[in-house]
Amino acid sequence: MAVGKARSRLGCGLASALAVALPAVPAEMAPTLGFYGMPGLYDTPTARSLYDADLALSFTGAGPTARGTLAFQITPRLTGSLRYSRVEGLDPPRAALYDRSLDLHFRFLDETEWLPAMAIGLRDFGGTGTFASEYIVASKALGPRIDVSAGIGWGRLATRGEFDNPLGLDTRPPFSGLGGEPGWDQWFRGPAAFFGGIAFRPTDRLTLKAEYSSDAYEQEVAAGVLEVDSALNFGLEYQWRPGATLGLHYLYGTEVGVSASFVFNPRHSPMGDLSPAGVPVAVRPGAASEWDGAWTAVPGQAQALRSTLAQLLEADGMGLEYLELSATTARLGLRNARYDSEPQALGRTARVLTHVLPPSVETFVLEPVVEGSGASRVTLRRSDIERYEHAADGAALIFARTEIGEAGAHPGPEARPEGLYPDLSFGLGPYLATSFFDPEAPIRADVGLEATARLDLAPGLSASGAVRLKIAGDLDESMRVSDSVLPHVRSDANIYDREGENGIQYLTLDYFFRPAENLYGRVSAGYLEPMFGGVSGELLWKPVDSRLGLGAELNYARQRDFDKLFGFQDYDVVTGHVSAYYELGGGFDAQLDVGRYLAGDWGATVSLDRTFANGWRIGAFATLTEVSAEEFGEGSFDKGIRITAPISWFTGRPSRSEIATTIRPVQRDGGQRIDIRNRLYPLVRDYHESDLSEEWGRFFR
Amino acid sequence: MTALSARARCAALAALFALLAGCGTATDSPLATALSGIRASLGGNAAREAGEAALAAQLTPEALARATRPLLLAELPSRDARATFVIGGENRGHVTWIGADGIGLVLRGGVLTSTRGLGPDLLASDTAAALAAIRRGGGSATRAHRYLGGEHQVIGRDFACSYVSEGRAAIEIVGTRHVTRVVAEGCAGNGARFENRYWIGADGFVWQSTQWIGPEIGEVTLKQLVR
Repeated sequence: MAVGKARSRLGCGLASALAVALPAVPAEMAPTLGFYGMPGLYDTPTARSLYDADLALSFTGAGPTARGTLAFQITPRLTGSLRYSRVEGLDPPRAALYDRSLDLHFRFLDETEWLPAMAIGLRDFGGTGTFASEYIVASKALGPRIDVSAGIGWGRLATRGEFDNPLGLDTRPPFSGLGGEPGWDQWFRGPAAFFGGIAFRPTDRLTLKAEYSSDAYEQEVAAGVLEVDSALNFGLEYQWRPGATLGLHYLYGTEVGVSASFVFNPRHSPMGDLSPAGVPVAVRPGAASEWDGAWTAVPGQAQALRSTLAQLLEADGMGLEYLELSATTARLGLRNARYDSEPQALGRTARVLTHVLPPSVETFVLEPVVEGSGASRVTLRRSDIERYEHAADGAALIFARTEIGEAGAHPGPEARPEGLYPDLSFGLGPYLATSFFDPEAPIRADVGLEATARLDLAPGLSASGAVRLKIAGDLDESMRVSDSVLPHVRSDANIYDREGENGIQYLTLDYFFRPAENLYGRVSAGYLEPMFGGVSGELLWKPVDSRLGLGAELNYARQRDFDKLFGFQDYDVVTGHVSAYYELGGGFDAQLDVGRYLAGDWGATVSLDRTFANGWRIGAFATLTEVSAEEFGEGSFDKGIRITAPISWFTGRPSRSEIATTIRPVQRDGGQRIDIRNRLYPLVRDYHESDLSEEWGRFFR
Repeated sequence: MTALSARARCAALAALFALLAGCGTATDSPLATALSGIRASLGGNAAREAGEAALAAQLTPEALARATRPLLLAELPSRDARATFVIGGENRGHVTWIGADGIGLVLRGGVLTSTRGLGPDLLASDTAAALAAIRRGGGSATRAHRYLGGEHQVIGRDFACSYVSEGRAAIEIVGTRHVTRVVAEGCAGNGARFENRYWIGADGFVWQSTQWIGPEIGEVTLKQLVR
């Protein structure tokens, strides 16, 4: 059946996604985004929030200032954002000031019939302070189409109409240091000022906004790059697609402003699930008394079944690692290279088995195999699969009768299909490499081809490598020279981009093994990542039903030559960490890594990610080490946000590919880890109990 | 079971998989032509029109007279698409119909119980009470639908439905006339409202129906080309 136009589907998908996400409270307008890309009007905030888990990307420009913001609704009440701003003429002798800033906005009171919603927020709380301000704001809906807000601001939001600090904290110390550290001593200090505004939505697509701003743009006016004649800002926004808004505004009494924003929610794929139907269940004919195990005595029968099953799984993007058969039980090692939804892979495999295996086989023991090791064991009853295939709650009924436990040991070669090892495979695909926030060019990128090869020698033992051929891009134009006083473990990245544009990304020999129950092991050697080579060993303790995982990793690493070929530089280091991984519940994962980093610095990294069953992960991390803020340089310590997006979310087609991005406000040398591409925890946990149960509804997909 | 019959089953299974993979084995059959036409239609508007033309050419009384197995035509107005389906499996009265490009439709007694490969699919449902009411041509019943949410969670939506008989109607499906009684099913629940209609032959067989899949896709029209 032909699919409809992608354009219309995208629209209706997002609209219906919002319809599902929205509670039935008609009184409240969807929030508007201000010129800081957060719930607000122009310069001033409102007490609104985005819908839970919304991601909002926005661009605004007026006069000398341009801002790009990525905001995320971290919890229903808490909004966070990373913003990159450019102000012409504010940082002489440079042409423009570039600023990265982080905001937090917390709605602490919900609106009631009589009381407004209220929120408290910090803007630019860890940057260089150019945009630093704090506020408390209230918003009240007057009917379904009018939203009024009023609040009190400090810092930059108290540069017009300001009065003495209501708390008596009159002194706001000037900004000091290297930026990047929370400005505890400044928050809510110094003079304060009132602000307010109104948003009116005459139609569902059009919003008119007006505000009285308490930001007089003192720095910009003093620098002579902006004239401000009015405290009133106003304009209109038009929603031209669900989630996509364009705006035209008149600001400061002197400037025309423009805005564009794109809001989407990782929980709602625009495509839905276009996975092709799995093979229907084959129901065994006759009665159980007629099903005997005589077939086990037929010579060659097991190997014939193995080979049929291997072909059928391969046709569905999966593979057979091993198959052990008895008259009543089949134990199968499953390679899943296609389905990002692991229960879907298990369900499709189980349905294939109903066609292939003789009727006397009642128990299916499925063991997902990751890098040659069983990651878990899922035991299903064939009669359940027959009985519940079309039941309304079939997947749940099967789950209730399914055992999930520890995988068994890898059986011997006699249980494998023929010709499994050695196996050589190749890949060729495009790559995109980016660099953000270089003042000379805020976004740089290379595109090219990456060729990969992998040789599987035995279960768990493989050699793999990747080389890149750059086709176009400007990463090599960065001539910045690192001023880091630490060993340049990362800050020479632009030299690698310049001299190693056609280089070896990685070339390693890896061995994965199961040393004992609940334990997983990995040893890797070779060119581990673009900048370092060496030897890496890792152990992970992660019971199948545990929310806690514990790991230890030890590496000897030596810095590679800038040409990313085979040579090494003089710098080497022993680096390693002990790690704790914990599922907090409610879709949040925490990770703590303690150890020695690439520059030889000791310290710890804290990470917090919001995870979605469909594969999206959005998180933040911060690393504090013995390196002082002065030694570290701009930014004071290492931190950033990371986003992982599953390809299947965009295409609707099953795929285990992901796009992963880490954005650091500043890339320095303190608190840097070696970039091992196949760490154990992410490989293993997909097949453990909590991840399987989250997505089990897809068993019959 | 003997080894021989296991191999025979494997051969039949391979044919089924070939169908699921969209490479019809009987290349000269009208079905295979129709399937390949639909597949081609994914390539763009021109190809789509060509595929539609190929399908239309196969939807003739002469072509259908040559068909050797049951054939179902499904039309999705919201996607401006239609395709033919063949039986891929049967389990406890549920018949799985498989179309090109991996689309699957499951019917029980002519009532749609789940879909696959359409995007916002009907994951599963309990339509036993609805089926009984449709056969009676009156009364009321509850439908329990299941959908998958964006976080892969199962979302249940129940609908309260009432049934009325709308009398007799003669319909024509690609040149074949069927005298049917028409049963209308009106359902509401969870902020949604839909109406299904079934054209039922004298022996209770549902020859044609329009049935609601879900809020995003809307309804599908099913016509039994070959019983």
